[in-house]
Amino acid sequence: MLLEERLTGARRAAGGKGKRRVSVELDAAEVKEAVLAVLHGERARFVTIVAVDTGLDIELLYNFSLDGVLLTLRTSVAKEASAIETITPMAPGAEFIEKEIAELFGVEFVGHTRRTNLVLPDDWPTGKRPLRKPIVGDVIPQARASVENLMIGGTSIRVGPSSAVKREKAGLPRMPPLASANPVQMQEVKDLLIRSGFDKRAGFDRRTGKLRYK
Amino acid sequence: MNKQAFFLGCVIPLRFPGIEVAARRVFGQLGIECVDLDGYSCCPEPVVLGLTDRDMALAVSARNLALAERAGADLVVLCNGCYEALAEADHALRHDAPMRARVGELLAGIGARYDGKVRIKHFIEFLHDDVGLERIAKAITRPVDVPLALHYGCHLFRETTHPDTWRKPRMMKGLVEAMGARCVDYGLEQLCCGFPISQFDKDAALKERLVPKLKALSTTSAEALAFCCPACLNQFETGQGGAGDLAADVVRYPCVHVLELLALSFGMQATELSLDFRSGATKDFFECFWG
Amino acid sequence: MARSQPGTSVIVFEPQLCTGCRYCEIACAVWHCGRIDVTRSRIRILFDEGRTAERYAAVNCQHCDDAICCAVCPSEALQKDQKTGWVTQNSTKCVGCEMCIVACPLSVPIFDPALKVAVKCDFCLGAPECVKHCSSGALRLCAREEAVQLNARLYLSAKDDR
Repeated sequence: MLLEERLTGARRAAGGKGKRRVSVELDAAEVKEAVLAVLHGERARFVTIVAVDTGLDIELLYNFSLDGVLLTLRTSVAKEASAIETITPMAPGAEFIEKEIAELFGVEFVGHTRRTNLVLPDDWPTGKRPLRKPIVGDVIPQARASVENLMIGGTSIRVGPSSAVKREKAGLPRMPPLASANPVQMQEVKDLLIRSGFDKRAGFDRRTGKLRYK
Repeated sequence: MNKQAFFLGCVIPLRFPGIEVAARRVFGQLGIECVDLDGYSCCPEPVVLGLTDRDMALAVSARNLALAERAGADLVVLCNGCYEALAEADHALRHDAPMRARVGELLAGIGARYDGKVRIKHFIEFLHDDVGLERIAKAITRPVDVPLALHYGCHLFRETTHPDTWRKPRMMKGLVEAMGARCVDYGLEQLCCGFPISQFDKDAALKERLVPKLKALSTTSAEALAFCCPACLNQFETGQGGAGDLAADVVRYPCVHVLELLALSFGMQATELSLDFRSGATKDFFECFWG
Repeated sequence: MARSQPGTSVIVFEPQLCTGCRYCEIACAVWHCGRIDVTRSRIRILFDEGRTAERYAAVNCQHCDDAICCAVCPSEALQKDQKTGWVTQNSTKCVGCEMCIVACPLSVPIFDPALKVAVKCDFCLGAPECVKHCSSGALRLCAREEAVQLNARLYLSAKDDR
C-alpha cells in the first residue's frame, strides 16, 4: 500500500470514535517522507521518538499528536547498520531525543548537527552504548548450527565431501536424494522457510548464509 | 497408498551410509519395492530444531509428507527421530484445524498440498507387521547366533494412533529374536541414550545415562548392543570413550543397527557395510561374525 | 477451601513408562525462558539407577485442591483458579520468600535464578509442553478424579525396595 494511503488510513482511523492510538509500519527509508506528510498542513505536533532494543534490531517509534490522538510511525533499523536520516529539519523538536537515542542506543541520525554529548558525560568512551545490547536472536544456541545447515542445504547436519566419499565407498550414489541435490527442490525448501517467516524470526541472513548472531 | 518410500533422514545417508545399504538390501531381498523420496529435506530433527520454531518444523515436515503423497507412497522411516517428527506433525495437522489451514497456505505458496493420506511407519513396525516375521525368517541364511542387548530409544515409544507405547519396542525384540539372536535383559533397555541431556550437559549425559547402561550390561552375557536409531547409535559409539574416562571397568560394546543385522543375516558381507568410520569394537564384531 | 470444578485436568506421571530423556525439562525451559536451561524448568525428572521400583520420578505441580502454597503465600501471588483447576502465579507479586517451596509437600516451585522470584508450573495455559514432548507417554493429561485414583495406586501402595 502506498505511503500516502497508509497515512490517510491511519488518519481516518484516528478520527474514529474511541481510538486514542494509531500505528503505521514503515521501512526506515520511508520515515522522512512520512514525517513530512504528517506535519504538512496538519495540526500535528511532534511528540517524541521511542527506541526499543528488540535483540536483532533497534525499533524506532516516531510519535505525533493529531488532535489528541497519538499517531505512531513505527520502523526498525538493523543493529549491523543502525542509521536513519534525521527529521530535525522538519521537526526541530526532535533534536534532543535523536541525540539521546544516538548516545544510549548507538543509532546514527544522519545529518544531525549537535556535536557534544547531551546525556552522557563528555569523556564517555565512544562506541560504548549503555542501553544497546549485543545482537542476539531467538534461536537457542544448541540449534544455531543446525538452523544454518537447514536454511542452506535443507539438512540438520552439513552435507560435506566426507559424506560423498563414504557413500561412494559403500556403493551408493554420492548424494542421497535430498532437496539439496536438486536446485528446484532446494529453492522450494528455501521459499517455504522464508514464507513461514522463519528467516526473519530466526534472524537469518541469506546473503551470508549465516545467522546474524553467533 | 500401497507404494512404499524410504524416509532416509540426514544422519543415515550422510554419516552411516552402511545402514542405508543394509536397508536397500533387506527390502530388495524381501521383494519389497521401496522408492526414494526425491527432494526430501530434514524431517526436521525433533529435539533441537523442533523446539526452535514449531511453525517452521510443521511446515517442513508437511512438505516431506506432501512429497510422499504426490508420489502415491506411504513412508517407511529408518530413524526414531524422523519418525517422531513426521508422526507428530501428521497428528498435529489432523487435530489442529487452524494449524492445518496455516500450513496448507504455506504449502500452496510452493505449489504443494498435503491431504493426510500418507501412512507413516517406523521400519520396525513395517517389517514386523506388513512383512511379517515368517517371511523374514525364510530369508535368513546366516542366523545371528549372538547374545544381544537392545536399546530401544525414546522416540520408538511414540504412538499417535495406538494406545500401547510398548508396541514397537516389543516388535524390535521380536525381529531381533527372529534373526536367531538371544535378547539379553539388563533392566535398563528403556533408558534414554542421553542425547537430549548432552545438549546442556555432556558429562551428565555420559555419567547418568550411558554409564548406568554399560554397567548393567557388563553383568550380562550380551556381546553387542542393537539399535534402531542412528542418533542413539552415534551417542553410544562416540560416548563410550568418554564413559570409559568417567567409570572404570566399562566395557566397549559393538553398536549395531537392526537393519545391518538383518542384512548380514540375509547373507550380506560385512565388507559391504562401509564400516570405516565405526568404532573398533563395532568393526571387529561385524568382521568376526560376518567378514 | 478452594477446590477445582468438575472436569478439570491435571498432568500425571507414570514412572514405568519414563525413559529418563528429560525432554520435558528442556521443553519447559525453552517455552518459559527461551533457552535450554533446565535449572529454570518447572518440572524435574529424577533417575536412581540403584532402585528397581520407583527408579524414575517426576517432581511436577499437582495443582492441588486446597493448595498449601496458596495458603502460605504472604503476598497472595499464588491463587487457585477453580474453573481450570490451575494454581496460578502472579510473579510481579512474589517477594521471593520461598515459603511456597518449603510448604509444598513435593517442593515443586523453584526459585528462578534469572527472575529472582519463585516460579512453578502454569500448565502452559492449557497445552502443557512437557506432555506434548513426552514420546513415551509417561506424562499425560488426565481427568483430576482419575488422576487421584492413579496416584493412589502408584504411590500409596508402593513398597520401598531397599
